[in-house]
Amino acid sequence: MKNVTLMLMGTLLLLSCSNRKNEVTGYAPVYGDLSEMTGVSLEPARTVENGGKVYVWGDLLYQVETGKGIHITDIADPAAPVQKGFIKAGGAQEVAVKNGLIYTNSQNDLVILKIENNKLQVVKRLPAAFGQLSSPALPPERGPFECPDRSKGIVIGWQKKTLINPACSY
Amino acid sequence: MKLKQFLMIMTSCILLVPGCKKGDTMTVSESGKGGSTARMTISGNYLYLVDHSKLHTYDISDPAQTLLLNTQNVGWNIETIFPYRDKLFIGSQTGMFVFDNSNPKKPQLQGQAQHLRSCDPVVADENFAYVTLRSNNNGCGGTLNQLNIYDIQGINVLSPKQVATLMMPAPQGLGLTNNILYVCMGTNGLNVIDVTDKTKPVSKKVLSDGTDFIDVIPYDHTLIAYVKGGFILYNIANPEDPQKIGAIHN
Repeated sequence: MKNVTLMLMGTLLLLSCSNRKNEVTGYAPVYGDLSEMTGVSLEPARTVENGGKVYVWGDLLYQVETGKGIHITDIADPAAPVQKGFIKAGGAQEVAVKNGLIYTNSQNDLVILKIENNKLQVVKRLPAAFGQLSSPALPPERGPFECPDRSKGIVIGWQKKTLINPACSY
Repeated sequence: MKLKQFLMIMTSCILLVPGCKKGDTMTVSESGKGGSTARMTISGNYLYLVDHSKLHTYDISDPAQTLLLNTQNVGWNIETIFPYRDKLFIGSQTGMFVFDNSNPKKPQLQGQAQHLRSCDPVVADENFAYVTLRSNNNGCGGTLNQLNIYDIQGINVLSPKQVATLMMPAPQGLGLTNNILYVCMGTNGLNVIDVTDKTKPVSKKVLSDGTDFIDVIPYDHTLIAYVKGGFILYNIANPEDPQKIGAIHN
């Protein structure tokens, strides 16, 4: 038994030695919780931070908050636009409206939303309709990277850091 | 007043959904208006979506049963789609594609105009298409910074003929109303261009106060400008002379 313990300790020492030699700068996945990321909800109006694409329907102007959702503003009086609310939709980039239904993307899904009595309802969700738009399957630069671990969630981005023996590269 | 009436019609439409939704005559007012930089647009009972290389057509006549009808290859580095009547204009980094949409279930490629590599949103009217080419920013590549006008009348649409070019710094999103074309030029301003003579577009003025203009939607007497940080509304009762009236931006 003692021998086994010694051998294990030796192995660990060896590993840590070799580890130090293989420190590289590369990318590690940033994980997100899928249900949290693809959830949509109606929230109170909020400040525009990084305004995106716009769509107008009737007296209502819809402006994407890039990556976060959609601002709804009443522009019946263009001199005094009134913010009515905010639809939280992670990954939002696109918006269109027909018959009061709001078509947008929730991450890579196409979602059709309806607001009724101040409640947001998902009329339809088409998974991965925006498939190739924003899926960060690989880091932004070639080189070594930390392999994604699916048990930790889905990859929503990459951050540069010092990696120890990264097993993946491209 | 016009907007109010519009909203009332909309409201009655929603109340009468079963009666209204199949009427094709209502489609324009039912579906509002988007900008020139959109990747997704609605025309009648169909939703069109472009990814980097393909056009996807969805039937949204019953939104709860939205159905992907077909997907077709268009080209590489597609960025925008803009509908006008029975046509769809698709902008890519290497050219403009015109699709005949008279069968909205399956748009057919009609013609294309190639150009050097750059970004290029498109808007159009019955007879002409207006394309901005912008170099460099956001990895678009190329060295061109200009507005191109193409003749798409009749059979010309099969091979759109360039009839005019106007140079300007970093043109991006654009919008057309009453022979006035508004072209966003980022922090260089908003270019107000008279396109009455398609072969001789004339810049009437440039609104420039440091605002970063990205895209515009002319909407009745209001010009909606998507600017960095939010939006600005202009009164365009006189289209040549937009007056800032309201804004929400940071």
